[in-house]
Amino acid sequence: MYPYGLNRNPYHSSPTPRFSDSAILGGERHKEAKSAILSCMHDLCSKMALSEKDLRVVTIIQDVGSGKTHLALHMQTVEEMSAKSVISYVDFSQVSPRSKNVILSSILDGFREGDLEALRTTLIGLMMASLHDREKAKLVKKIFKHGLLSEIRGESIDDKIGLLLQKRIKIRDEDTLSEILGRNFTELEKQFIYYTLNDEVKNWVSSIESLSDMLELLASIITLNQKLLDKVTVFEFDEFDSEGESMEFIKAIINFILPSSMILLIMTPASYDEIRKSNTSLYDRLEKANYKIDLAGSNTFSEINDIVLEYMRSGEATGEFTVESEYDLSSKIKIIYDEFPDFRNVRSMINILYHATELVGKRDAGSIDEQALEETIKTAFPGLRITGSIMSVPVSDFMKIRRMSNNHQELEDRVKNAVRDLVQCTEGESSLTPLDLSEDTSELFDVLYRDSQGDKVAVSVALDKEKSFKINQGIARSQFSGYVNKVLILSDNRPSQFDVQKEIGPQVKNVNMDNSKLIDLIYFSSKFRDSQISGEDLKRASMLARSIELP
Amino acid sequence: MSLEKIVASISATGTEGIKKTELRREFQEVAELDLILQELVRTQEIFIEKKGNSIYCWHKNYYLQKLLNTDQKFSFLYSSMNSLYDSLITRFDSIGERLDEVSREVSEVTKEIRVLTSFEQRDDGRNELMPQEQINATKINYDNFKEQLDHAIASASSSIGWVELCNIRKNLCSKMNISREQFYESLEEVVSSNYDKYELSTGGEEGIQLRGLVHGFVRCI
Repeated sequence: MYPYGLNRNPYHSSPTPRFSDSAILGGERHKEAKSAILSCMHDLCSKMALSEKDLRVVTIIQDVGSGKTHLALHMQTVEEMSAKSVISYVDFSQVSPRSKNVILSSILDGFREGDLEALRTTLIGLMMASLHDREKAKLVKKIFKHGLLSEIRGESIDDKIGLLLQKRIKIRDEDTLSEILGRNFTELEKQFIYYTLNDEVKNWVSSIESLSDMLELLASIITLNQKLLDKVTVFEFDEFDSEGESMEFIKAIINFILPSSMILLIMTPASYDEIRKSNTSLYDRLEKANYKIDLAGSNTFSEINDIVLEYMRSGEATGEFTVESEYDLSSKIKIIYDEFPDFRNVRSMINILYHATELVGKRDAGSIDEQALEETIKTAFPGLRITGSIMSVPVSDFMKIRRMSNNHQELEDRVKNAVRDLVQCTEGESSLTPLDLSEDTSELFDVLYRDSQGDKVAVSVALDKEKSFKINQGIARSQFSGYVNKVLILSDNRPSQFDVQKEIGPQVKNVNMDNSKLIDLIYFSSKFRDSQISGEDLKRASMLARSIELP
Repeated sequence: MSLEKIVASISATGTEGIKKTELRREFQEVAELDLILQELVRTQEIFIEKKGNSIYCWHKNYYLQKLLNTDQKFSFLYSSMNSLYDSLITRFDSIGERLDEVSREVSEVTKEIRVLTSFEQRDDGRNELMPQEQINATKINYDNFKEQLDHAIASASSSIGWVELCNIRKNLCSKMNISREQFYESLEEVVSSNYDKYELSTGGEEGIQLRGLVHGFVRCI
């Protein structure tokens, strides 16, 4: 049983999205991009009746792993889109060699089987309709060589048409077919229909050599989609780049101006830059694209979080993925996102969630917990470490402490205790001395101890800017120098400049601790209090003490 | 006194040298002439050699020339050694020049390392160890760098907003007088602390390494 009452893992583990996974689309930016494509398609449809050449160019330019392919595949699953358009999806990374002929074949292969079948069925329906016309009925019979003998055998023309539909027979009388189709179709369209009915388009296309014939063929296919299915045609070119003849082919399509169609060019900024450098003329056309789909911010936390949650929401069946569960999962995703720059993209995050869901499923646990995420990171990404962690804090502990750090007061108390524990561990228990200072002064400090040189060191923990400022002011005013030799103010203020450390006097030192140090301290403290400090931990503790300037 | 006279007398004969018998005749009053000559030979002030049936003495200043004039083998060896010496000197000169060059480069690299170390140490909160003037020389103001970066991206960005980092780097390095390494370190810091404001993309000639890929394009979100 999977977590949150799911009956299957909603995430996929393939490095690139599969068509079957693409029905789910999360993320505000991705949804906006989808709307833009739909809007372009609707606009195109509204002009379809004008029967003019009308090509729309749409570009999607974004980094790898940001969900471009997912969006392209998703568009094929959108009812609103498939009701109005026939889509051919071409992945240029699978087109080799990049010759015009192979590209054209890939475009024809890129049409979904359902769309091609719909076209064949409509054409065969046309034939059946012709049976009502006495003259045409004769021609239909001629095509199928349906004569008296067939009648005697008990074969009907409908049966033969049915066999053609099932691809069990072929028709060989191209001229008669052309006669049936009449003047409504061009010669090229008639040829395409002939080969489509016989399911031989691919062989026929491979014999076309000239680019102009290829473009005419594409125009014919588009027109047929328009005439017979009342749909516009969309060509999705994924992984488009400057390799081989792909640029020349796309440029020719744009210049030819196909009728009622849209080309969606999906590429990375690097490929776009390559095109700029190698084909100025195509680059200029792409710069003037009708729509430039911008997935800016597709790798921001809000976008990734929404995408990840959308899978859960879509796969959820029993209602166990509640708002609280969403919040809980989000907070864990946020920590992974913040701490591991490598996972700041949709693909990586989905991969983590896939593995974590599988692990939790095997354990039959109700939700994705820190341990599952830690185990996932350990097994799937064994080389990853938490940046800046001296104590080598396990990911699960790190996540728990990070989540706890939302409670500011609790965090500060734990850091104060941790500093005391660290001094006790590295300098010895006897080094700690009671805060026997004047009332004004003692409230400024949290820990007082004698270091190995006999100096009295006062430590103050101030985890917010205001408090840190107040302590600095208080120390500047107070007459503590008679009582202590050094003062250390530990704070977590993010520096506004590259300067990390500031001095307010020779005896006072301000040390800024980043998140990883705070978590190191708390982790150390909990181990120290549970008497679980090993020899290695002791060395790390000394390093940690030095890193925050504890002498 | 007689020692100096003896040396002067030998020297006066130049490359011809003087017969020992003539010296003995000239310095009859010096009883220990043989001992003196032996001492002069030991200190290489003079050289004594048999020439024909007689024994001759030469002063050190002329003996070499005498050998060059009379001994063909020695003369050949001497000229060979000289040409070898000249070639070594030329080689040493060029090595010297190269060493100077290397030394200058090492000095520049050392300066660069010091600059980078001071930058890192400052980040680690250890800047009190560095001389103040060095810190001032390498200090890059975060806000200033960010401002310049934003400006450079805005000025160079294409219609889709992406800009090649290589171009931004050239621009900012010359404008802010910073090294390539300083640029990328600062950029990494700005981008990682504002990852909701900047986007990086793979590819390009140079950039920041992420997930093992060079990210050479940037844009502001």
